[in-house]
Amino acid sequence: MADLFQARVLSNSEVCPGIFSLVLEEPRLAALAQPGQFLNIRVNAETSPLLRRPLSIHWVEEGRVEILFQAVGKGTEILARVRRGERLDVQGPLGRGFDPDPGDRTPVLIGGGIGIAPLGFLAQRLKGRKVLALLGARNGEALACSGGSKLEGLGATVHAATDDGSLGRHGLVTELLSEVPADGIIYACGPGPMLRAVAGYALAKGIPCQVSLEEHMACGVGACLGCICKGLAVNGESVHKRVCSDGPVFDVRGVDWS
Amino acid sequence: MKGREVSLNVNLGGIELRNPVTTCSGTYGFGEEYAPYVDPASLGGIAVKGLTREVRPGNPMPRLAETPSGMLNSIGLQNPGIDEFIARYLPELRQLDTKVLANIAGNSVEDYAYVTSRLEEAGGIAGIEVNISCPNVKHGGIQFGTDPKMAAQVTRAVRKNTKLPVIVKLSPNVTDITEIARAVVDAGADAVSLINTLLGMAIDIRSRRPVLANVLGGLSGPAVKPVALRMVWQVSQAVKVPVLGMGGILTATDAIEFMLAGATAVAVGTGNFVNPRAPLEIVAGIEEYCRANGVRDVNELVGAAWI
Repeated sequence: MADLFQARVLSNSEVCPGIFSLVLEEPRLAALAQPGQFLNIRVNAETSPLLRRPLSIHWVEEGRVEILFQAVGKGTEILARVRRGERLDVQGPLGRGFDPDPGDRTPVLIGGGIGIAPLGFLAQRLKGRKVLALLGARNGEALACSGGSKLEGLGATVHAATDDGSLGRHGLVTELLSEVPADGIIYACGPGPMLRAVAGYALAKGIPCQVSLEEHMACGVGACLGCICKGLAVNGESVHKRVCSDGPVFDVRGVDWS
Repeated sequence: MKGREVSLNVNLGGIELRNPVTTCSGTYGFGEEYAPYVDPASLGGIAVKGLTREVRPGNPMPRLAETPSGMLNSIGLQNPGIDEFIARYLPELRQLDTKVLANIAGNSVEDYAYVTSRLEEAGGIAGIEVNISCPNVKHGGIQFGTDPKMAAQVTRAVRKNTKLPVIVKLSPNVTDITEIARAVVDAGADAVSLINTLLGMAIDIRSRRPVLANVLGGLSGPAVKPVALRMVWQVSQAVKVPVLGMGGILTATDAIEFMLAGATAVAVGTGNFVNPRAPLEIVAGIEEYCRANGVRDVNELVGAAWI
């Protein structure tokens, strides 16, 4: 069950331009966390920014929880300045994560940009399996530090696509989709258009697929109904689902992509 | 409770609360979402998400915009409807050792009357909070909340259909909130709650479009606290019924200010998002303040700032 922690910051550093790695020492949080779940972090004790920042878990090891984030706005810029030894007000782990049991299927991890980050934790749980990773980022460096090198370190076969062609294919990660084997199971996280393309491919080919969606949130626990996505009920009826608590990871068949 | 020398009980229009701290409708789901952080038995009460006669899907996304020390929302009263509420959520709510307020909204006076009689029949709730102040839907309240005659009409319809205490939730988006407050009290309200959110908006300069799909939204959070406090001050002196004060309460200090301004009880809304344990910390903080200031009964604080 989720809880509130005053988590000790073990390190916080810019691993490549604009991307930060924040490591928290919090054994109970580490023990509770599941791949695909997120933490809701209060970046300071002030009322501006007012809301917590939801950030997915990148890596869990020996009682430590690592977050990767891009400093893109007021909240994450403040978070980028947090220093070793400080305590952070952390709520979590929150949301429904990936179902990390691929059964007999070959796990295919598809990540775009900072969306690669949560796939790291998933790959940890898939250790010992043959894992294929299709990753895209603006350049090779960003791809590596968003989790690409860690996935390789775990033995995954990584196929890359970059905006500038500095690593792998010069283009989008969705151009690599034909590499997904027919017996694959897709786990994807990244920008909306990427997820839409991945979902379309998986649905067309009948390949099982789970996607992690992103949305601005207020409560993070399913109470405020601020982060809704269009979903499909089991009977095919269109329903509103809460990204924070019904997700952020959804089976593609449970999302209304129309 | 060992050696408690401070009495925290308050009476909100016939609802006995074990302490003056509750949660705001629309910020607390149906009570279960905050179970990991707060034992409802530690609170005076909780108010559930606004209920309507029919299922409401709510407004399109985006529904949220963060603002300086506040946030805008335009959820649009998304709720499963009264049938589903009674069948699926009420049984669990009945098990909670706290006072449950059912918040209701509607398109018409008849809708309010219908939802009220369904709740009366179902049983298990402590009171009805009548939302005549939702700024985010065309039909769902605010057309009733800005006209004293309409506000009175809705209140009378609810009153006629229940023996439960009736709390009417007031909109701050009016010229004179005391006029509406008097009208609903004359029509039979046992208490009033205030304030609902302040109508506002945000614009994205990159897209040159409003941030919210609904264009307008309701502002909440610390940014609205001075306005809320002023309105609680005015209303609590204008009517004889108790006031449930809300609007930007994050800490015990905020809550105590509201009580000193005239609120008998307070509700935490957006504050839950910032600090899920805020309601508990506020209960503890009020008790500590009373003890430190020789206040034996928390009711002594109510309106103590009046001059």
